[in-house]
Amino acid sequence: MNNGLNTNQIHENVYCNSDSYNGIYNKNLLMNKINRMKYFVETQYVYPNIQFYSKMLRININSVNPISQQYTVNGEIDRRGFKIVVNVQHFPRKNFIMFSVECNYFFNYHSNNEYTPGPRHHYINNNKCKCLLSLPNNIYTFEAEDVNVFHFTFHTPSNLTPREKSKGAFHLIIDSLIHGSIIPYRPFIVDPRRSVVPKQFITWDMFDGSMNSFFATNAGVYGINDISSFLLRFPQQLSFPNTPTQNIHYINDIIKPLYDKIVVDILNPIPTIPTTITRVPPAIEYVRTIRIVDCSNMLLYGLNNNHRDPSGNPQPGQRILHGGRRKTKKRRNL
Amino acid sequence: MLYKIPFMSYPIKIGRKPNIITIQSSEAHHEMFTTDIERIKQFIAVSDYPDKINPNVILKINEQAVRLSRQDFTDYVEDLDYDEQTMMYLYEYTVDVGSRRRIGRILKKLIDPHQKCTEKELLDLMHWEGGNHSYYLTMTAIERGELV
Repeated sequence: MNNGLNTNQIHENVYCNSDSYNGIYNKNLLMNKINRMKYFVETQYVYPNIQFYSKMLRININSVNPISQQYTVNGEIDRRGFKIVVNVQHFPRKNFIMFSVECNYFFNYHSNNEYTPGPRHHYINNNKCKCLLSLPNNIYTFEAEDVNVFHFTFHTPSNLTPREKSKGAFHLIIDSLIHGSIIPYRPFIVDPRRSVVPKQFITWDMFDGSMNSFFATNAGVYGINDISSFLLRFPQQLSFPNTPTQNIHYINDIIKPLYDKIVVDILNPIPTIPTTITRVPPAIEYVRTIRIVDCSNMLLYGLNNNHRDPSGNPQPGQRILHGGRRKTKKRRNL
Repeated sequence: MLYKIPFMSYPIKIGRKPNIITIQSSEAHHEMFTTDIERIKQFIAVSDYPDKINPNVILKINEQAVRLSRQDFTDYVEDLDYDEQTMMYLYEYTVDVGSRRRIGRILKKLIDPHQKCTEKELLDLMHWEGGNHSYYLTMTAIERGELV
């Protein structure tokens, strides 16, 4: 993803409040729930929709009956063995969890170039592949490298420095809709428009046009690669048949329900768990012309607004996220 | 359709002078997931990180790799602790001849606590490792005469 925002308010907010929402980045809290979701995604959103994915990813093969719809184009013959897998990967010391849906397939390829079977990579019609077999008549069998369909990432920077934490983010990236170098994404962000405690993450439908300029990280690109802006700018076909009588819409029937499930089942409950001390920062509007408010100029949320957490205890001095007049000059949690 | 055409093969050199092991490309997938502890030790000896890889850990992982499906092996890897996972990556990198330079750079970052991998790099690492095991399973299936 391009790094289109040099800095934004959330960057500064996370820096200022870096210790106060470590709980949301707790590894086990997320991993346990994400692992439980894996089976659900496989059985509800992946395996029943294999025909849809084949068409949507332009692989155009029928895994159920490989003979009836052979794919033969650009020297590729008989694409087959299409499969989709759901992976959860955790890089604990890099503070990173990834939940990805990937696909791969096999095909034969007719070419006058010579390929030797082996572990080296080749590019066939711009796809990264490994040559498995050399057959008679200049035909080779290849396996396409795994390709991401979409993935959710959860950066988990609890033990990083405040400055590093400010890049922390949870988001969805829809790899399969890539246009040039722009990959559409949608962040998971806490709703800045609601003042209820605990804070709630925004569900898909609540993420309207007014939220396009709000960011939870400085990794976004202003006005381009949130999925709504992206699809307006680069319209593409998103609905494909899964069975003769059923059409599936990639965003409405797959991406959106999964996004919402993560919000409702994984992210929203986290601040309510008694063992975590978590205050999730809302997203902040990116306004180019307004100076970023730094920590020393922020208000102390608990002290000024007398807010209390769900258990009734006053919140400690967490700095509010919109800046304001200088009320405290002393840095905390740094 | 059964594929019974003999594998073509070419030699692959692993390691740096003066310690070099030569393997045949058609055997590379077996070498990466070998359960021969002596062979594992030989590869570790020519690795860039010989002191960071425990051969017994690699043996334990490879014994699972040869019997588990791709999905089950991914789940098994997920349950390994960080040091074991890192050893597995370093060992596979030693034996792999596919995309060494880029993966090598990512692994350098992975083992350096002061460096941070990008999301794309971690994604590539994950695909590379999954691809290694997937390639192993496919090649052994072909060798057994099973349909691709």
